[in-house]
Amino acid sequence: MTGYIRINKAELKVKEYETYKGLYCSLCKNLGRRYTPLAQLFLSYDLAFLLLLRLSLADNCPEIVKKRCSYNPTVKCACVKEENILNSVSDLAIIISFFKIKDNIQDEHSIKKLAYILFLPIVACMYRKARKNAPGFDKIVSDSVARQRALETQSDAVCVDAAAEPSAFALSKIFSHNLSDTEQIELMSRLGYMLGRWVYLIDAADDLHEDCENDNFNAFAPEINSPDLCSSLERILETTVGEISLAFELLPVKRYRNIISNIIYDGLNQAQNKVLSKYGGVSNEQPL
Amino acid sequence: MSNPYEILGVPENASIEQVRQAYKDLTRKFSKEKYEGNPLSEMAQRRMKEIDDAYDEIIAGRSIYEATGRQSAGAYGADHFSQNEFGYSKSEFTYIRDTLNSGRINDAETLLDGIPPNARTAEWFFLKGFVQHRKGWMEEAYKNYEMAVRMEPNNREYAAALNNVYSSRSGGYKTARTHKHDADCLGCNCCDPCDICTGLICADCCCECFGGDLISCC
Repeated sequence: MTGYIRINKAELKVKEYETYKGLYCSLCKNLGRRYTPLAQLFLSYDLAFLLLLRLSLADNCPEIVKKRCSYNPTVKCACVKEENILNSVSDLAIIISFFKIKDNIQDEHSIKKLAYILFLPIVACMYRKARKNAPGFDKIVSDSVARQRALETQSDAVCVDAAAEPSAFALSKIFSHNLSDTEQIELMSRLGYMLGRWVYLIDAADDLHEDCENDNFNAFAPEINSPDLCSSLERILETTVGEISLAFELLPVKRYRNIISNIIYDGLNQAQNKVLSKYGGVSNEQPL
Repeated sequence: MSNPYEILGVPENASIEQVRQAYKDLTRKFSKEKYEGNPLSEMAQRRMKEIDDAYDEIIAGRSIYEATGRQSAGAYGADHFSQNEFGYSKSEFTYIRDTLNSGRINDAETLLDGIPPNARTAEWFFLKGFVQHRKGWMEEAYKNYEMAVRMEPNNREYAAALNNVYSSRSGGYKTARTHKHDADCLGCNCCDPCDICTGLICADCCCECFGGDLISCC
């Protein structure tokens, strides 16, 4: 997960943008308070989206308090006070980052590797606390990482769908974690699955050339020399976004509908175009 | 949510036209064809039922004169519940279809994989694609649906499934986004004859201020 799930700011109303920023700030503050200010480095737009979705399903409207940001004290943000949801998203942020850093240490060969190795013990400290707080998330993420490893090291060719399965499955579990309504569970699992799949695929598409040079695993590697690489990437991604939208339209959200649909219909598309513009096909034009 | 107006997403003082438009948009959005093969299809049908009921309730509450347009709007939602998910034909794969209908996806896949490659008919590819669609393996599903359609081009069921995946491939899902326009439509952004007249009269006033004249009679 590396911040592909963003809003398309140009298409958002100012009040909606403020709300979104408020959620992002609350998550940042919570990470700083619950772990250390260092943990704020692990903040990502993907997690802000998870927070947004979970809050949109909550029965009660979240309570809002105005707070100052410690990095930019002149600005006040409308932070939400939903400790339970915020805490669990923070725990998840730490767990995901820990596994990501471990993964990077295995993959990197340059000077960056040293930096990650030095950083790891600090993160490991936070991770131990997060694991105690959210054993469920820890199990989901660690299982998915193990499955991904096994998949990448096996000798037979892997189809795109199978390669995306571990991440997709993990996100479907994370999204539906601790929900009680069966309809919501089903919808959030499907939405999570497809979103996890999309994130995995777009990440693979983004790193395709780099991975091939370094001889790392990439789901699209067999297709790298095909002439219609760009259009086939686009088709695969669009299909996945289509499935996301089918699940989202059924989801009984109680608030933030416009922000979520901005992310799904405009934000994902923008990220997609940015990545695909590397391969020439889609122009990276910004709407006026 | 039991307020029918909330379900259709229109304000309580909405005109019958607005209600009808909202109903049309929603039925199109949750139509059975769109969710064909999707694990959420049952839920979409339930939502359709809610929408139908809400529409009926609103219409019943309005006067007889207003309510006569139901026929045309209803055409979209008419046959959504008439067919069973797999009600098209009995076949050699009946048992596997039953397994799928009862939601045992993994069992169905095991059964399908047990069939030797030379006995795999168009229906096999369709069912395999269906299982993969449910699992979220969209690419494999697409390939299998495509294969099924190539083997039996005249089968409506296979063609509908393929078409569904195909349409979102080319970005067709974007049309589902009706909510974005809700606020705009209710605020009435559209230009009608009245606006044109108002515009002309304003322009005339401005011209007269500067000594000219746009509309000579007033």
